[in-house]
Amino acid sequence: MAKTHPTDAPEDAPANEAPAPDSPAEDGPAFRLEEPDERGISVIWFDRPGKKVNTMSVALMGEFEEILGKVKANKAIKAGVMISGKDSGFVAGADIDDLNLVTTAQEGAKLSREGHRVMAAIETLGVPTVAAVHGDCLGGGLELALAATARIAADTPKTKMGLPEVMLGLLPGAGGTVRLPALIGLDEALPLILQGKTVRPRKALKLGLVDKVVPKGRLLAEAKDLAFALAEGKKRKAPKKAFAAKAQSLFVNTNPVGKNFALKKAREEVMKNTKGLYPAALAILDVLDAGTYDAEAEAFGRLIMTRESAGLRHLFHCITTLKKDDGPGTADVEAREVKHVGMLGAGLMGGGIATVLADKGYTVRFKDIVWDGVQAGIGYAETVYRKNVKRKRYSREGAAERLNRISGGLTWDGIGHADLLIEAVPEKLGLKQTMVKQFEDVTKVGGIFASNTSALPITEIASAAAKPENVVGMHFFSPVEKMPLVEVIVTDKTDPVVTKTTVAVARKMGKHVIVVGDCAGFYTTRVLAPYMVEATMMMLEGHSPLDIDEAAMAVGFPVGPITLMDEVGIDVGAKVTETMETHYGDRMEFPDSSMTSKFVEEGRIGKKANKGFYRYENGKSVIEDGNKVIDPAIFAHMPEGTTRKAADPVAMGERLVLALVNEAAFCLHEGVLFNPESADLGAVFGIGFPPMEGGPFRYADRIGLAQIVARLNALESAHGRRFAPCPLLVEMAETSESFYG
Amino acid sequence: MAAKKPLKRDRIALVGGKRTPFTKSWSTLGDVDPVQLSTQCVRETLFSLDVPLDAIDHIIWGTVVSVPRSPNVAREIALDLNLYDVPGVTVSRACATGFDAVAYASRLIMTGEADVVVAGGVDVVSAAPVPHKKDVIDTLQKAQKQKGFNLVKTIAGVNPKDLFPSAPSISERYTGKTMGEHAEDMVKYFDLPRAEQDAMALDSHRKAAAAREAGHVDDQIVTVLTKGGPVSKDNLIREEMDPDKVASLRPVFDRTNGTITAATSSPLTDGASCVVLMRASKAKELGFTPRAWVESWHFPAVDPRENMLLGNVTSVPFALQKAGITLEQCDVVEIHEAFAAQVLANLRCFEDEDYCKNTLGLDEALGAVDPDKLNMWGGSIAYGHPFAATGGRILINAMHLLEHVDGEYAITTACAAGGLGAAMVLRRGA
Repeated sequence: MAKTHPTDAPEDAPANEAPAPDSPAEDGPAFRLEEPDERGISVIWFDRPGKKVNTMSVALMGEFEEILGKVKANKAIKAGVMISGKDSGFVAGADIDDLNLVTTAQEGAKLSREGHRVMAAIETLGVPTVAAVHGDCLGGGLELALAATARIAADTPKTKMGLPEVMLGLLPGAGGTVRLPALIGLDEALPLILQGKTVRPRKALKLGLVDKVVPKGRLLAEAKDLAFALAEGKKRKAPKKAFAAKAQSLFVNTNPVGKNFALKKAREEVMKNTKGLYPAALAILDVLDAGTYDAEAEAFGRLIMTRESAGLRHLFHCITTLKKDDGPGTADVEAREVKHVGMLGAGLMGGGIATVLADKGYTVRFKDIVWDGVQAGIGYAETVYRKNVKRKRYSREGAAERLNRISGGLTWDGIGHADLLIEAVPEKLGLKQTMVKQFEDVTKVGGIFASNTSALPITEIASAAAKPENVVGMHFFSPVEKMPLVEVIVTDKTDPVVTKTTVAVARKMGKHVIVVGDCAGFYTTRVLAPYMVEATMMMLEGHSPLDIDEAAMAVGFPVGPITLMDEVGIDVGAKVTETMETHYGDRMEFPDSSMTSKFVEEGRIGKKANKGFYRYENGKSVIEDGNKVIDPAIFAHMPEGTTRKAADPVAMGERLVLALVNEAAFCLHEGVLFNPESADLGAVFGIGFPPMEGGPFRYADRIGLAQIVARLNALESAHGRRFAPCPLLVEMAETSESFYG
Repeated sequence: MAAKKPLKRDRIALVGGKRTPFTKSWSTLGDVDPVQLSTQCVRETLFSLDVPLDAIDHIIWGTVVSVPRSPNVAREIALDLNLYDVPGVTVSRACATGFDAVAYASRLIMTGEADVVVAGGVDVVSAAPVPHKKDVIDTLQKAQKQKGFNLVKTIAGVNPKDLFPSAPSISERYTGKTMGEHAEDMVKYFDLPRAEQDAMALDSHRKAAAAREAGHVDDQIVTVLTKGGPVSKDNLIREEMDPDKVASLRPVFDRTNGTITAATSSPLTDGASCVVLMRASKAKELGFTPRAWVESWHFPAVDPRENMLLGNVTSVPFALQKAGITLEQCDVVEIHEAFAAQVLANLRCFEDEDYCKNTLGLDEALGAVDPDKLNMWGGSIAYGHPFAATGGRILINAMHLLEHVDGEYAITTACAAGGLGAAMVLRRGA
């Protein structure tokens, strides 16, 4: 019988030369040294027992050094090959747990120096070494490979090489900042170290990062041949570069003026993009300038102790924790197979969702009310795929294949056999309820109904369903192909199988998933609302939109709340506020809606209409002197008129953040959040909460709950009862608890 | 030419079918890739019938005009639908290709190779590849292996005027005549008056326009998405046609003594059609009520040098015999109108006792076709004729007509280039 198969990226061919590792016990050795073969080539296998991926940890250093000692002692060994016994890849990086144990900068620097010692031991083995890499070769993994004499990479789509430490607020601490620029030049090393960019095998070959790219099945054999050639005295070849690239690299890499110029440019770039909020980026530039292992170790130790790195590492912890969390009651159930997805509404949201679904192998059927809508939805996907062809992510055929998975019409045709239906119709409860009922009439497979509402309670939508257990919320963020989060909302009645299936689809779409309980606004919209309300209040109090935005960005939000309102649409925001006011009005205070309704009336609905708080032309912000330009017409609807107050950005930033933190606490208190990690991940990836703070709860922990409650009390007396601290916070402050122990 | 015994087999259920709009070549569907058009046709058909895609066992697709880069369109459709383990076979039997696809599909079910088969065909004349001359192709081939001076020399050897692509050949390879010229031969042989041909063409449009007005046509059509927007309407049917103007048209194939005009020929057309066939038991299992049963078929051939287009009379009696019925028992008679002249010639032969007895070996003349049963909703002259899609259109139309007239049997037939023919009997479903 025929089956449709969503296509995955092709599985890596099994490395046929890799012997099955002797199923080691959990605490068995991670390294295994093979006896030299007839050419004198010895293989060092890295295969951490009981783990799916190899990571470098402090505990393994001794073992590895012991192996290196054996290599050095064995005169029969003419060259070595380092390779991983894991299917997942070479080495994914350092153990984050090790870093969390560090309590002082000195300890951190020591950790780095230990890394330096091990890497130096490889360099001074006396025989050449080849790192044979496949899959993830990241962070400490790449630094290990850099210490080898030469590198060879398996040509698979999963092979990725890079130094992503900067994403954790750190820098490569095992010699990466010295060895990588030495190998490929400072100009090419900068994006890898400074932005954490990863490179694929072909690019790595071009950069000279690897000496050869070979099919995965040939990896070990080719590595041995290369090791043998090096042992025989053959020299490594420099990569061929185009003339312009050669000239640039000559300029940057061989004279101090060029180097300073490149670093200065990079620093300007960093300041522009991060406003100096990420110390790691600046430290990296300093270390690259110094170019010594000592500078690296010292900076590494310092960075580990920064709140930014702690916050980012916490975020990493949330990601790994939530990857294993499929939502309440899902432990003993199996997700259903999903192949075909129905998509109601082919607007920006629907188009974006379908684009990602089809990219990941699902077939998608749009239903819209007009053909223009259907064509726009398909056109959205076409535009994204075409861009990806340009970026060489896949071929033109790959784009056509994806596009062919998407079709659409005006009827329910093609949705009867959809395993999952995602609705992205306008935010009207009655309409969504009608859609549930109609879907239940056409589904032949008991399909899941997932609502992509951003605020309406799922329970109310499900109340129209004959089978509310099949109804779930699936809250996407726009633009879907770029935003990394999906918020899955479960009601009391949602079947855990439905939850698990929905989560699996969202994960396959490449998204981080938080599963939350149901209420108006769920988690993300609900905590964003008080933050936006506060921004509006500030405007009504007489603060300039520019000052408000700046205050938020100084805290680390990527865009300010007023800009966000323009981006999302003032009308959309008004609708959400209305929903929130209906549900939380007795506890929260909302600004007089007459300003917003006047804006909507006069068509001032944001960027999409070229008319918002700021001025726009042809869908682009008007910029004067590097700043956005306020549309003076907005002041007509504000009580203070054009008179604007002087700003205290620190106080304003704190006020915005605390409004959000307090509401997040309410969500946990009421059981809308099932764990604190969801709050932190959701806030950072869904609504742009400052990543280096690690999320609202991590922020609260850092400040201390007693202090948070005190600040909220102060804000309550200054601005009103909406700041009354959540009882959970008060209780935790009293018992000196924290969210993360 | 005698028919074989009626076939003993599982019943083959036609559970439904749809077609794309049939549009004048180089018009609304002119820019659509034939594979794309086919995929959309199949997808929309399956979606509108609510056939689960993973039930499909095989796709049989027909093309007449070759499709660039896709010699096996059927497999391309399966791939585009993500049906990676569904085989696809592409068939070609000139203008009878659509019938051939359905017969092929039915045979797969009969032999137990498949339970659910998608059958249909496509032709986008607008997308026909225009070949370079053989000399040019040979030179390019040679040049691939050369370098430097030799390469320049080889390429310089091409006569620039040969770089103009050769005009697509429309004449029959074997006879050297075009289909129109063959039809003109038949006009002369059977002495078919121009007025009768004109009347048939006017009738075809009148009936098709009336059927569309009554909503019978839109039911059969799926909307196709193109760069220029959705296309959901046929564009060849003429609501109003001036008989005087039709009578005044100049003959196109024989400008001096001919009678066949653009109005009495089926026009160049783009389109696709698709039906879904199931083993009777499988249809029941999946909850489908058969709209019609495929009862029998016959695919004859005659010497194409004279009267090439007698494929209707050479196929119909034998398909009827295999189904065990007579022409009178048929409530629906659908004859593909390549030319009005060809239909008239075949109808004459139906009634010609001498021809039926001596040439076909029948016991008596097949008999006259009741004009009220013939092409009730118009024919290919009005709808157009995207070669491989016409069989599907006729079968889908017959399926609807059987229900519309509350009839029992439909006989459907087409003639085709090379002296080929096709006939298929449908029986009303449950």
